Amino acid sequence: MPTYILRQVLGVLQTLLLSSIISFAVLRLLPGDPARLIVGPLAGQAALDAVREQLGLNDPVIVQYFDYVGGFLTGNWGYSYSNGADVTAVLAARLPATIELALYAFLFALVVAIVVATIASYRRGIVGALAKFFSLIGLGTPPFWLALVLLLVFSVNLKVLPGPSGRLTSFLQPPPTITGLYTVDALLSGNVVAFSDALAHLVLPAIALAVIPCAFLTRLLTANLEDAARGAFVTVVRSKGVSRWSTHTRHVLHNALLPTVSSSGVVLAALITGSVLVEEIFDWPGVGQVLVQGIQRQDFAVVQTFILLSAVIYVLVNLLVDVVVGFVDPRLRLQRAGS
Amino acid sequence: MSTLTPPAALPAPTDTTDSVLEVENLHVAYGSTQVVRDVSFRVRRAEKVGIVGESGSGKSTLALAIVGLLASNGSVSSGAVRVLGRDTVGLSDREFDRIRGRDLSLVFQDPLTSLDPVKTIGHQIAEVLKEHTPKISRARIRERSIELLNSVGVSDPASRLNQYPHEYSGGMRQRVLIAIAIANDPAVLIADEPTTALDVTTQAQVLEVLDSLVDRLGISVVLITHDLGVVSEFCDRVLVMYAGRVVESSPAASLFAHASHPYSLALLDSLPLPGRSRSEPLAWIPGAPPAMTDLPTGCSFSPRCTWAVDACSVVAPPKIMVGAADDHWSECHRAEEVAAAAPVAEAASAAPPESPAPAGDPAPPATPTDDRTPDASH
Amino acid sequence: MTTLTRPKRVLARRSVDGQLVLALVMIAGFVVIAVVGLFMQTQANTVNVADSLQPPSAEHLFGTDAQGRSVALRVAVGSGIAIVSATVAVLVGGALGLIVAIACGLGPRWLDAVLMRLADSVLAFPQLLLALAVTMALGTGLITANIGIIVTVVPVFARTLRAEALRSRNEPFVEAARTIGLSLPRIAVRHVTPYLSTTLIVQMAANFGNVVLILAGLSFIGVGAQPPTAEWGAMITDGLQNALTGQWWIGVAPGLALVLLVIAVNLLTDQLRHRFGARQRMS
Repeated sequence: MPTYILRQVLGVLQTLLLSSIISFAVLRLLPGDPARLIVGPLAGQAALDAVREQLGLNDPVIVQYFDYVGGFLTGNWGYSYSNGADVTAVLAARLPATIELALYAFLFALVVAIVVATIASYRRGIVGALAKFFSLIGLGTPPFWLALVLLLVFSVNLKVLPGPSGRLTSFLQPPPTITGLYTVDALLSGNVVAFSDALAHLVLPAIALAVIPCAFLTRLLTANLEDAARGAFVTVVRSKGVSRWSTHTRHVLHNALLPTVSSSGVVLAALITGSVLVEEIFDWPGVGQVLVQGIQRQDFAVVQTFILLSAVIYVLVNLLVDVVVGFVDPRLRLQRAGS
Repeated sequence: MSTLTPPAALPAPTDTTDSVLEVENLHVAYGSTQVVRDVSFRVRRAEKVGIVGESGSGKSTLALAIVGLLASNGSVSSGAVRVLGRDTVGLSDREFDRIRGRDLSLVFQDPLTSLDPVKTIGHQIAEVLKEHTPKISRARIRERSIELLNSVGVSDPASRLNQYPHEYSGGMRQRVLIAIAIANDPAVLIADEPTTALDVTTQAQVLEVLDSLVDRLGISVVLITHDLGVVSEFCDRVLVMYAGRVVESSPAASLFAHASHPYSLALLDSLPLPGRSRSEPLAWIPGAPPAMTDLPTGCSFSPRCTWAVDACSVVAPPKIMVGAADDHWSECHRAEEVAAAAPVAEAASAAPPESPAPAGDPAPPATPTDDRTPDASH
Repeated sequence: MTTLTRPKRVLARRSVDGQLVLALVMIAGFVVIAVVGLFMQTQANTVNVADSLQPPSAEHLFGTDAQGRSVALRVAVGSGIAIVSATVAVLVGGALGLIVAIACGLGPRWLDAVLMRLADSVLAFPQLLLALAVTMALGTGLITANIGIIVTVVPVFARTLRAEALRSRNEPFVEAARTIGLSLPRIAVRHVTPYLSTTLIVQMAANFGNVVLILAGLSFIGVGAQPPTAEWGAMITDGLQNALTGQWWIGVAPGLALVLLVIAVNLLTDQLRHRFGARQRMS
């Protein structure tokens, strides 16, 4: 068992090493001079040289790479090219907003996917076809466009949900920071007004963010459910007198969920990408918004850090999921014991 | 030629009140293809009935039809299945669920895939207990589960309850499946190829467990298998299935002495029996079973039959009573002649050809018609 | 009872055919619209302030934007941009992925290990974000965005095709070609490439919709096509500014077109997979 995990970890380290090289290469080796970006197009050669020296751009590429990786590993993610802010501090301050949004989107996607996929695989026919159609549309819907449509319908026309105004209505005080998640903090401090307001602000961005993960999960889970439903054990469970629905929810779903969890990485990637596309629309003060603003200001330090960070998180989450599923799924325990 | 219309009821009616399972003129179809055709039989209390046939003969479909678990494209097109006198064919799923696992249970083919891989053995045994005794206590479930595992010969049952199927060997898994099947003392147990996936030693052990249990508990068994050897050890009565029909029904002993359908005879011939010398090659049946979508006219076996006469490919044979036993019949125009030729132990003399060559067939006056021979070869 | 099941089956098969026809008709429609759009780019960019912010009407099917340009016409131009860009990205990305896969399949084992680890490392980045970084480094624009996208799809192609390429190594025709001493490039072109072609086609279709989405995403953020180019993502950005004041059509129309195109292509992909029996793979 330890060798299995060790092998996984080694593979992950190799991947991360290469990812950091890729990220560095995109930053330094492609045309475009970060120093020029910092000083602006009008600055003189002297100012440019000074910045180049300061950034270590005159060092050999290898040295630059090790500086870059060292900085990344020690949490020293550099300073914003545009306003000099500490990138680490900026991202840290904005992370809770993104986590809260992504968490709600994920829960929404997961619940909808489980319900839809379970029903669709239980009753093929029209219901199954509808579910397939639903995931087909979902996979083709850009989250930023859905955000626009949702705003038009629920905020502009029906006026039942707030427009693009961040996490809370401006006159409300954010609840005291405990977890950084407004809804949780508001509940913990008993602030019902802040809670319902925060929740209302979450609904539209969370749905916009959820659509692609939800469609993906629905599709994958339906396929896994249909696979599992063909297993011989289903007939045996039925022969005990267990109803078809109970067999489906207790046995087939359980069998189908585990391989579905293994693809959490894809869902995570979709959530990270989605937060970049959706947050700015809702003026949501998360890391995705920082990234988009960084892009508009040609701020490489922010962009590079964010992108390498998302790759690192993706790889680590995949590793974690592999290990956890390996422990939880008895079938994989067997395979591992055999290998 | 005897009467062309098959008798509506069995030729030798047994005492109805004694039977726990009655199958009457059952027809099962997948889509428009009839897979089980006009099957009738009765199983008395504590009786063990074997259903024998090649794969594709419809025997597994018959098993699934009896327990009401046909795949979604399959359905009973006509006939009746009575469990303890109650017809289950028209039952709703919900009503049938109350019978399955309590009055009627199933031991399924492949033990390796027949248990849910992600639930513990204990969970899977508890499930069948809880399903039919909703108020059963946890302590009682545990007690009963241990008792069941003990009775099927799983050692150290208390600790093995928490294990997953993959921690059990194939033979042990099949024992668990038997434990689940007998958990609620059912009247009838349908065992579909229960030992096929196991090695020979394990097969014998599992059969022994099954045998002793059903005897002790007075459970009736329908054993579905392709293996006449298993039937000979285990069963009281044998039904031979071919192309979806029961072609011969007989007490086990009577079948081995007086097989009266050429197909049964051929199956017996392909069986390595103690009396037979090793140098003697095992016989095989020329040709392949017909596609159920394209059955030959007359007797379905006729294209492969070395006994066939012209009438066989035209007129479907009726049930013909054979031999001394009053419950031995065969659907063959030449049943008596075949029965007379049957005694397998002294096969040398009058038996139909040991060798498969359809031409070298001097004893019976059968001359396979030329147009049928190529048909049998694919 | 028997008669009930039979028509159901026929219906199921027919609906599969129906889906294929539907997908092809939709795609053909988009191609026609795209061709029209590409020929009318100048009209689509002509500013006409007098006509600005007109709601949908018979004259302007999807109304006009703040500069008085016909949204319908711009959506048509956008179809052209989307289809051409995605086709180029999928063709180039597929070709590069094919080369990598064949190198993995026919080359030495270490090369396979290195290339696949590299592919994994690229795949660790969310596609849109890596495409975004590359695009920014190269300078924003439609062409650089396409290059960024190609970088991210190559490993996707390489990974799926590699499995097939490895399998082709054991195929009799490849073994035979090696035994008689054909050169590797010749084997690659003559024998392995045809072996991989169905998978390649299915993968191209499978990635097409995704590429369309990424390109729109890049333009939406502002690193892809730049205004006044009538690209769908850029048009949605534009539409956002008018959405809150009630001019819904400016942003809704291009998004709707995008969704329909991606649905059509994904529907086609499902049918291709179905027909070629390729194993379903989600990327």
